[in-house]
Amino acid sequence: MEYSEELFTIIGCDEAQGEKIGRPQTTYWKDAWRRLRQNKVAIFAMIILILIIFLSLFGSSICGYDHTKMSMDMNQTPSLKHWFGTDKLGRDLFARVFAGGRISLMIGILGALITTVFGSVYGSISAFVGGTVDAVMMRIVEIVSSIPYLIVVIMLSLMLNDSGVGSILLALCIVGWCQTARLVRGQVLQLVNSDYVIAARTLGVSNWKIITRHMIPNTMSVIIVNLTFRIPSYIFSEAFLSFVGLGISSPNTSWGMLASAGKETMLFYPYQMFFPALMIALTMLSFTLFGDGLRDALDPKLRR
Amino acid sequence: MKKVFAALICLVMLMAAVGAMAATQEITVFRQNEPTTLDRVAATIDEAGKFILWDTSEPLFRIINGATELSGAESYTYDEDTMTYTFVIRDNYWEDGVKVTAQDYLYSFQSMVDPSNAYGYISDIYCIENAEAIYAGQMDVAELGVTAPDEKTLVIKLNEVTPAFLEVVPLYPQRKDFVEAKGDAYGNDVDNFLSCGPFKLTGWDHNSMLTLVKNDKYWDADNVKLEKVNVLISNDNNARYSAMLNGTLDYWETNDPDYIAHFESDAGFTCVDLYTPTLTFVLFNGQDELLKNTKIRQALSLAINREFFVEAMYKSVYPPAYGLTSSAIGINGVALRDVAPEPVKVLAESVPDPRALFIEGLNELGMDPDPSKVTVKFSISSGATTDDTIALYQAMWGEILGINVEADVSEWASFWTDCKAGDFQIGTLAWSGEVDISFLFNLFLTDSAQMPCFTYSEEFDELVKSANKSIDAQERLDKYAQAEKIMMADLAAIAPVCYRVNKAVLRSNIKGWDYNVFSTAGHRYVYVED
Amino acid sequence: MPFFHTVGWKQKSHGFESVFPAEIGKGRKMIKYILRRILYMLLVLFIVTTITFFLMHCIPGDPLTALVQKLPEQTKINYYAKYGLDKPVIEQYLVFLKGIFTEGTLGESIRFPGRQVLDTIQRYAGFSSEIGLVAVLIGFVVGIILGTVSAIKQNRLPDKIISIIAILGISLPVFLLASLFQYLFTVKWPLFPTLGWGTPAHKILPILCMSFSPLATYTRYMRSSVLDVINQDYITMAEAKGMSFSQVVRRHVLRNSILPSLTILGPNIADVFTGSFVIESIFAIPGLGSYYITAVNDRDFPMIIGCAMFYTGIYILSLLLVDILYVIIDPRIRLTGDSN
Repeated sequence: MEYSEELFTIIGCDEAQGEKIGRPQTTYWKDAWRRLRQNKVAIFAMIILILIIFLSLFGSSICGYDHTKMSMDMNQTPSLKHWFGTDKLGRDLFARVFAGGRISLMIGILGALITTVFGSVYGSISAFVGGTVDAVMMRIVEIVSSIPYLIVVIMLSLMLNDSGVGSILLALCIVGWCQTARLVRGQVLQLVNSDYVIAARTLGVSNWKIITRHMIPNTMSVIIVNLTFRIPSYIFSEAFLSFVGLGISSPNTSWGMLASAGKETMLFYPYQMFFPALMIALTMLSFTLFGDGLRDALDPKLRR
Repeated sequence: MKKVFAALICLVMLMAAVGAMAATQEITVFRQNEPTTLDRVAATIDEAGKFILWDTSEPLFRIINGATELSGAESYTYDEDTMTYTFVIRDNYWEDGVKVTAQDYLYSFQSMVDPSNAYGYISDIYCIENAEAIYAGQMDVAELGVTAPDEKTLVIKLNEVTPAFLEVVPLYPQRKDFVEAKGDAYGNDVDNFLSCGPFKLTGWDHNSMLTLVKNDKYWDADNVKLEKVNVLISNDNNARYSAMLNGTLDYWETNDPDYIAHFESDAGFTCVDLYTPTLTFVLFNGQDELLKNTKIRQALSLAINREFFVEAMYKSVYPPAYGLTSSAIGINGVALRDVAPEPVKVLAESVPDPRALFIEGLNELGMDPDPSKVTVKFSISSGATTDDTIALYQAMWGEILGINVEADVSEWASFWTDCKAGDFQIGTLAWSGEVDISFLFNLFLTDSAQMPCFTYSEEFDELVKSANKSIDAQERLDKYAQAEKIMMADLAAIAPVCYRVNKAVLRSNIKGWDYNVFSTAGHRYVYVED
Repeated sequence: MPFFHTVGWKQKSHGFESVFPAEIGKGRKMIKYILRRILYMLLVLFIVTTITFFLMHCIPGDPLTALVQKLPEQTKINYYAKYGLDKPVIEQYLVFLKGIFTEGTLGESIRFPGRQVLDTIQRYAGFSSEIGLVAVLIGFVVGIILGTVSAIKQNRLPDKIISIIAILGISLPVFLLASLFQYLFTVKWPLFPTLGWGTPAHKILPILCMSFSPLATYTRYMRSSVLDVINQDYITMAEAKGMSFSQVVRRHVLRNSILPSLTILGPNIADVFTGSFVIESIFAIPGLGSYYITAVNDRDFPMIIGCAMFYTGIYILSLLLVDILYVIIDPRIRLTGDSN
């Protein structure tokens, strides 16, 4: 066989293909999702969370009772008629627990979201600008987080003159953002000084590109993981406030309110405390386990 | 090793405690909170402090089993013309052996009217000559109508007839040299307090426990049988319940039907009704655009299903209230309820449909006659039963009147600040009377400004004031009854909801307890039966 | 942590010796650092106190309105005059500052006449700390041990058991745990006294309850950081050098993995004083937590401000302590003070 010139065509040198990677390309998020899926515990926790959220949204239509409707069936133990029993005023506990879940989850998710967004922005600005601005901003963080919690909460609930979700949320958020701000600032500082960012900078990559390509993906994971861990702590704080008598008021209810009401009758009707307590514990547990899984999945260092 | 040691110590202590309890005249009772002070004339003296003082101090008179009895006084005379009481002081001794003299009682009165002490219950003693002027800083303390000619005699001159003087006026001694030596610290710790009552204060672990031991120098020490009274501080129901069961606590007061049911079925405990002069009621703001209408207020009052309320909240341990005072409160053993029916019950009979009355009220006000467009703001202070209470009112007014109820919860101090400023629409609270039936009525006098209902009536004022000064018990009761009807039914300034009747639970072998309302006997006659 | 950067290897020129300073300079520098931090602490304390003072007076109500008794107009006048509440807030503030700087006093409680705020805080904080500090300490030590064991025995039975304990510890709210313990151990099986205070038996249950959550937290932190550390090269190196396993754990692993746990120790200690309210009310402990809430509800101004100052002080102090510990334990960290 002769190799003549006609058999070949010059296709040129495709520079764009030079860096092509043979395996299917995955984005950061796709990859994270793939790894999260492999973590059975995290997936299980996620399913429980979805279930709790679903029940909180549709709980009272599932059991057929309104959570504020009183009846003469007071303090009934769990039965087919009332799955979680009834409370002192004859209200169906299943409906109440999941009506409470709506508020508790709302406080948890909204609170964590608000503080995380604010804290992240604050922390990144502080770390980026650096110098005196950083010092001043961090002093503010220090001072805000040193103000006794209860004073702020009481004052705000009085200033807003209601015992609704809004004032509790605001009170929790006003102190809560500091931790996230510190965390994000630390993370950004570390990144700014890391080898690859310094390398990128030396190569003349623009600030904007550094932010979008390196800073955001690498801080995002920390922020998201922090978010999942913050949600239960807000649910916890709300429960604590209810216990101190600063919770939200009827017709709304929350797990904290239900549990602290249940505590009073614990010796005689333990189930009245058990179910809200179980929900708090289950939610905390699920968020923690899910957060663990998410952290592992999002950590670029663990990427294989 | 250390843990084993600690466990051993616990065991020994437990055994010691059990052993001690079986043999001696010792009981353990509780208070909800730490006494703010044991200084009877301090501005912040509270119920817990007064409770301790029944045992550790000696008033001239005590209320025992419903009647006034001579205690710190040996005898007394009253001159009607000059309105003067003359007391002969008994031979009694302070715990350090110094004699209790008339000067000690005099000093106590002088401290009360001294403006710099800002004594809170001052209006109780305005009946004493010049007390009001001295307290306002217009006269000198020396001009008070109380004198002590010698150490056995105390003379008190009144400026108006006061039938309830012996019940209302606090008649406790304080020793000048001791109080002045301690200054502001008087009454705040064991070392800063001097007892002269049946018991003396020997220990005070703040926020935890007070220890009272029999006072051998007390004049009636022979009749005081208890050797020791421990007063534990706790406001956790579950803790107190388990303390009752495991023998730590001997006496408990509760309104919780579940606990009561348990103790009533146990022969080891005695349960007794404990009437308190307390009324739970709904307060209407008479200045409010909606609530200034009498029919609206009456309709709201009648729409409260009191029977359901007490059943739901207290399993009917508390009786429903349709008037100002319960069946336990009256004058000289005759209750107000014996002479007059409860006014709200009478009103209810003439109004078959509260909703119709409410709509009538709306029409009178020229408002939209549709109740479902009305939203009232319901203020309440935060507490263990707050949320249930709100839910009940939302249900009752929502179903019967068809109106909307929006809750406003705040803790007591700001709730009460708002109420007093008239910054509320409808509020609910419980108020306790002190010592005498007149107290609850005086709350609603126009000029007392105690209760910010802003629905006042001159007729009511006149009736109450003349009743307060009347010596004839029957006449007093009649006037109170008329006044009650005006306030509760005709005007519906407030809506009574329930009376407070707690259950006293105590070990069956403890005897001699005085359960009467207003009792100031303390533990003087209590004893443990073998 | 705001005051230092954990990235010691990148330290450039900021006036101090860089990566490996001579040990000689360390002591003096430490003192200087601590002094500056204390100065700064006082500033923060001052600011927080000022803010709290004015916030407190913004809340509706005063010590008088919190009293549930009949008060004639004259009493109010006398009362306000007695406690100086009739003056404008700014003047009250100056009086308060004067009290601190000239007499070193925080004033006297209004609700509990004759009780000095300082004495009260001392006494009640003592009870709180007896329980709280012991609980945090137990939680810390046990948590460190469990976390290490858990990491070393990764994915084996001990790890699984410990993980379950840790998960329970963080998912059970402390007041539920306390209620449960109280029910089980004082009612169902009356092993412990419920009321009263003073004997060791009174302290066991509350300490147990309070240590559970820190224990779980430290276990989790420790487990993950030990896992990080044992995969580091220097551990392999140490093992290769022939160090025994226990030596490696003690000399390298513990020392290097304890840092994350230390960072939360500071806030944790401060929380003990504020957050212990629930435990204190359930177990009838005469601690500061319940006192603080009573003071807020009673509008006992001197007491509120006293407690606020105390909490702030404790909080900042514990952060400082942790920072110092940090420096001692992690050789990579150098003192940089406030400047970047």
